[in-house]
Amino acid sequence: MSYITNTIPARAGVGYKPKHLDEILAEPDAVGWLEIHAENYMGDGGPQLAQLRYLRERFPISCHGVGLSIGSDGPLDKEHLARLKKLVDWLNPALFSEHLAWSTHDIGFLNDLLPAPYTRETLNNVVDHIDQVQETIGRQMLLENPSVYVMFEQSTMSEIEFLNEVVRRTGCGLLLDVNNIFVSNTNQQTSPEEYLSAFPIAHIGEVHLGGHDEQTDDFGDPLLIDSHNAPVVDPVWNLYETLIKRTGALPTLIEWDNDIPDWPVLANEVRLAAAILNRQNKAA
Amino acid sequence: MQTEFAKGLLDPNLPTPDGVVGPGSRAAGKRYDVYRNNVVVSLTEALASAYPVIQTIVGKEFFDAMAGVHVRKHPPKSPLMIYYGEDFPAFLTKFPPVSHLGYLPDVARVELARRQSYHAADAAPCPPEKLGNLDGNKLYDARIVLHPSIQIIRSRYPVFSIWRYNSTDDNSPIGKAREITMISRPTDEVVMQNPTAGTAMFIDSLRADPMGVAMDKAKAAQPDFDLAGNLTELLSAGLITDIK
Repeated sequence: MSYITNTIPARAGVGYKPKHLDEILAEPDAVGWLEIHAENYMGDGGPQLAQLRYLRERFPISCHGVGLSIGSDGPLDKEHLARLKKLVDWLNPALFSEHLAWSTHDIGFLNDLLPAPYTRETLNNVVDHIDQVQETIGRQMLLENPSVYVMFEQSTMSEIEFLNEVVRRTGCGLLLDVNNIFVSNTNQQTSPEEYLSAFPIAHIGEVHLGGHDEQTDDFGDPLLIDSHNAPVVDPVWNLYETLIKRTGALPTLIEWDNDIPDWPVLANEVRLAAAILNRQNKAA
Repeated sequence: MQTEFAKGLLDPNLPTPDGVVGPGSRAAGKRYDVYRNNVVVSLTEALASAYPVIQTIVGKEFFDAMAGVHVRKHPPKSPLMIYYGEDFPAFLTKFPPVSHLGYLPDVARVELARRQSYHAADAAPCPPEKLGNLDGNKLYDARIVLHPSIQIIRSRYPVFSIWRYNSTDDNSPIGKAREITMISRPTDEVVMQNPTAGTAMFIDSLRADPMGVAMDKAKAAQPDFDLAGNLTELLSAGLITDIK
């Protein structure tokens, strides 16, 4: 089956926060596109939806799900899938993405991106769920690599092997979160550069950049938390530039979801990403 | 696997799930606690953003502790965090540390209704001529369709004043009388009002009854209920979406 694919421009975009509306509209060329969290726009009506209807006429919109629970060992929530279909149908976003994680279980929705072991069983569930999502919305989706804080002794393959299999079996694309590469590899005491060099870059449809928080584990080793509440750190910018030199310009999002700064701070992060994309465009 | 992982997130007394480790297979310890913390903190924040007046009344420290109990007992049933917290007013009626604040659950009901009103379906107002054009003989049987965002909260306490005191610059003293709160969102802003018993009865009744029956009920609740005045006010506020 062929699905509608990603049409987001290979520019720097930003995670949309209503408090930045006026500034974004005052200088619309400063951002190439906007990303919204799907679940915030699943109400019946009201000013948030009205704002999104207005914005979609002016910017390409990327729709980023945070509640599907793709990595769940149980079935996807049919009602939630229907809500997503309704949103995607009217919004007609330039892309849809979700996480390699789970958040729903019998006890409820846990509002966090929880990890799963990389096993055949998880793989089969994730593949089934992505098939179901892509069939429901009639589009290719992008799957995002997670930030993880723990490892599983049950895992029988690496994250890269897992993602390769998912792409091969579902035809989905990948959303590469460069901050997540840095966070996960630091936490697992592995090399972010090696992870990046092994990543199936041909399938990347979007890049995420964000900030993280630094803590330590019980042994005094670094424990980075994907907090989305700070500027992108230099090692992440370096990984990003390495990536872009290999791939050429890619749609790149600055994610800042907590302790949301004033627009100039966020706009500066967008400019930094745009500068790297422009350098690559000139070099190419 | 996920059952054990999920249960441990809400119960700090449970051990780290089997097979969950840190680098070199050492104990996960604080690493698993990151997820525990993320879940409880993010749900507590969601509850705080839904119930700002409750937080103002009891204070942030107390609210966070109380929310910690609530979110572990009542995690969200759906991924729509814009609606999370619908069990909170009922929880407050049974949470002993706030039993001396009898009005608190009703203030929470007002805050919940505000959020539901904010996200309610949109509807265009009915042109005012439609009321004038109604045949006088049919007035009693006319159906008034109200805006979907309207909510009415009745309380034994002066919760409209309590809400206003804690949310706006209007610091008028809070009386002792019971109050009705009417919440609506005809366009972009949520509007808070303190309707009379007759108006509240009229609106509640219109959801099921034709206008004449609603008027009779409103007059029973408030003998001086003014039908024309109420209709004009509802129409000009954009809260009547159709008359048939």
